[in-house]
Amino acid sequence: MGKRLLALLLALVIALSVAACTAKPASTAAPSASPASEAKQTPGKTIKFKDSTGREVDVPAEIKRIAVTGPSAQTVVFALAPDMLVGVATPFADSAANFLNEKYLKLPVLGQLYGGKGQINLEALLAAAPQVVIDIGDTTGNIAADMDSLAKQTGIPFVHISASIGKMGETYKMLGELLGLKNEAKVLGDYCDEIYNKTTAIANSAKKVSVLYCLGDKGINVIAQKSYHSEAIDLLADNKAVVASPSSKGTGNEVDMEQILKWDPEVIIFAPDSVYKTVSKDPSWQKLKAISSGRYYEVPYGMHNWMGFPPSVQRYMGMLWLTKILYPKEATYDLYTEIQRYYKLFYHCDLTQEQYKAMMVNSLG
Amino acid sequence: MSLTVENLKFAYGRQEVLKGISFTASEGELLSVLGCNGAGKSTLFKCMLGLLEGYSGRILADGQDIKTLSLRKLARKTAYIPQLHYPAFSYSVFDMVLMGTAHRVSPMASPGDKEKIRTHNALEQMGIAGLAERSYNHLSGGEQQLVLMARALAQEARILILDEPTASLDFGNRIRVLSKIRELVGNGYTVIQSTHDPENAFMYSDRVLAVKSGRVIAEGAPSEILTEELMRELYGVEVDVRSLDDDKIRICIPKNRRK
Amino acid sequence: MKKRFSGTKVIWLLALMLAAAAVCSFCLGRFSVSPRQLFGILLSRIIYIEPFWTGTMEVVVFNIRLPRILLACLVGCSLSAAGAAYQGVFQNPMASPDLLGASSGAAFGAALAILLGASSAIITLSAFLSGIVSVALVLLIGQRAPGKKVVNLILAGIMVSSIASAATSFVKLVADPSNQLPAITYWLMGSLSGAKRGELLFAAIPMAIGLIPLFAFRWRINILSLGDDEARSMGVNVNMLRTAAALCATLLTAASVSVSGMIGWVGLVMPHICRRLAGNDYRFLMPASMLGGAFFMLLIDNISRNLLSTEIPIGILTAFIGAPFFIYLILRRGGRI
Repeated sequence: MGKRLLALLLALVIALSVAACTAKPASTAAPSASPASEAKQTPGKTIKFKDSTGREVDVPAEIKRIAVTGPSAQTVVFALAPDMLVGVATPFADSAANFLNEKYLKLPVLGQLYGGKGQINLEALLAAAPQVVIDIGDTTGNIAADMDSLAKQTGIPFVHISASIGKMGETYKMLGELLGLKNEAKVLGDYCDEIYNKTTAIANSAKKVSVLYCLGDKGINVIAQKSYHSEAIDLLADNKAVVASPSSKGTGNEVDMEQILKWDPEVIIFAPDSVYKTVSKDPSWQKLKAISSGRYYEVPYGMHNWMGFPPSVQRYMGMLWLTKILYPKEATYDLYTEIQRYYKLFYHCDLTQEQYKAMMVNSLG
Repeated sequence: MSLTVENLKFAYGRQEVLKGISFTASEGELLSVLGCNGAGKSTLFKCMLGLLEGYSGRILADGQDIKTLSLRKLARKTAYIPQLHYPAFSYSVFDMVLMGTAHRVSPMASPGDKEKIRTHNALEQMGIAGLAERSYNHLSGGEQQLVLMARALAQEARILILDEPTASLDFGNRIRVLSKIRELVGNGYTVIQSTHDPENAFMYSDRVLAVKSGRVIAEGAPSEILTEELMRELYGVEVDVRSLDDDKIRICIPKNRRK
Repeated sequence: MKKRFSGTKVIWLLALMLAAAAVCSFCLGRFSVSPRQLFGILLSRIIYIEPFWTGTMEVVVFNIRLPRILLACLVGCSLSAAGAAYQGVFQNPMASPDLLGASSGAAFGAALAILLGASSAIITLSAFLSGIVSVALVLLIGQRAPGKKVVNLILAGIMVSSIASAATSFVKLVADPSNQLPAITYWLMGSLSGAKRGELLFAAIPMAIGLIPLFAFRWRINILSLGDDEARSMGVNVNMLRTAAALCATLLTAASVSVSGMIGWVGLVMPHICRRLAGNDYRFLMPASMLGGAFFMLLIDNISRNLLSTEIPIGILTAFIGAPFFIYLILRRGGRI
């Protein structure tokens, strides 16, 4: 018995060494890892950069290689400096293959960081040799300490830049300063501010349309007012879903059909993969004025869910779309042109009319 | 070393289990406690071993009230040989017997050579030195019982308390174990055993204590105790008690048997 | 069950395997450092050597690999020792370090701290303390309840664990899904990634406090495993010993969980493998479990950090290896454990 277990343990050791052997070439083959790490040894000029936590971080004056800590940062940084990324935090969605340049799809996946721990393999990160690691998102109390300790451990500067839906201009401004891309960053920041101001101005000038955002396989989960994911809806419309404790989860709050009938909004938007296709035949849904009048839509999904999972810059597309369907008279812009512009700016690709139409097939009524 | 129980009373909550038991087991004596299930034998034993507190009355081991003795000191006087059961983990016979020396070893230490010699001697004394490296859980019931007795010897206690030592043994092992017990009594040990077997109690013990519903209903030499009346009272069955071999043996024959 | 090797031999063998695994672990990693460079880097701490390696390599070896190897050893050793101790003092071969709610409690503490936006040091501390508090609660309930102590403690453990799990679920429900929720989920899966010297020091102290007494009174755990009455009649203070062992094992578990997250199965599986190798006698089983646990964790962590370009949560790996072994145990158990 003992011998057999010993054999099992030995087999594990062997399995491990095989795993290690297959892993080794991968890390040596990591694109230009060694030259970059050698280059990092030559002490370059550094400058002080004050990040959103107020930390003064020494960063190289000329940054060419960067890494990100999570999907939000990835989306934001990808728009500004896609060629500086030495890897991505999470792989791009499958649909990205239709749009993105192939070289971006081949970027190594370095993993995501949550607080002090995470999927990021620090050695893989060091092998990819970024000059700075960028974290973008809410500025919470613990971020400074986590950034400091990671920087200390790896010897790479970690910076945090705060971001929120109304203030992307500032986020891009800081990012542009860090990466020496002030002009490019200004274009993106201005775009964000422009869309934000344009859509909220339209919504504020009109009478707010009442809306429900329904999701789930029965369509009876709603994104409630004042919840984490309702930011864009709350800004642009009268979100009818008012519940006692708004869930901040992506699945929203579960309610019942009776409650939805009681709210009876003018417009309903459904999450992709929810019940958009079947509601017109469902007798209880038919009673709703949004359904009977045909004012129900499916949230577009192109690279990401436009209403924000994860909540990042793609929500500007969601705001453009939502304003267009809620206030068709006031929103005089051409949605295709606007979305095409977004794709060019943030995804660095040309969105064709065909691609656009395929994406919007259920979203424009 | 003798063991004396004086007016022992014990209750589990409201339920009185022992209602004033008194007796003495003297050195070099085998005392058998007879009684049906639920008579209070196990509770009595637990009290004698210091496992139950909150009894009234006194229990004296070697003249000392066991309440005043520490666990380790008590372990030097009384040893417990439990009913056979399989421990969660199996140990070698040697390791099992070695555990009897626990009271000699400081809590933070492991037993040394002296304890190992004692263990070896105890195994020799029980005639099971050949089993030392065997696994306890794989022994026969009789062998296991001998191992537990060896452990009690390694413990150096002179009062041995056995809980139904022959209950689950086959015919041969029962005789083997009982003769070993007799041998120990001959060496001056005080042995108290509970048993369900009146005939064996008659043949092997020096004195018998009959317990019913928490009281001693009879006490004395086996020949005084093993009567038809007492069997009826203790177990509620009708038996003929026959005497054989000049009253060296008594057997109980059920009345409603095959004619 | 009959052991095949003498206990001492098994311990030496495990110690050798652990040393070999530690050396191998130093050579493995996504950042390639040749054995020659590695040797040079390590030796340069003792004598001066003209560096023929890069500064990044030094960072990798000293700041990333070294703390991680040490932490893996400590966590494996602690969880395995805690499991072995629990199995003995609760006379239950299926006992594992989360028996008295130390891990579930620690998980709740960590989840709560993440929810409140605490820094990673505070998360660790909060996990550790709430693990201890959970077990203290279990011991308190177990002391007050009448009847069989072992059963009471196990039942109290199950109750407190499930309360802590429910509380953790609630924290997950209200947590911010964009960053807190994944952080909690990731934490619960267990990982040694991000091992730092600070964490190492934080964990090492309670671990030492737990390991030393467990090692010292290991022989008495044998006696306790026979049952309370038997152990007491042999002069062993059962309640004190069990409480002491449970406290030590709790310190070990809470310290491990607080730095590495929930890593299941090691504490159940490793003691059993060591039982097969070294026998059930805790004089050999305890040190064998400590060494074996460290070895196993080191092995698993090497897979966790080398197999894919991103970290695989170590709790998932231990479950994948541990659960089949558990089934094997159930199938083969009959009187053999």
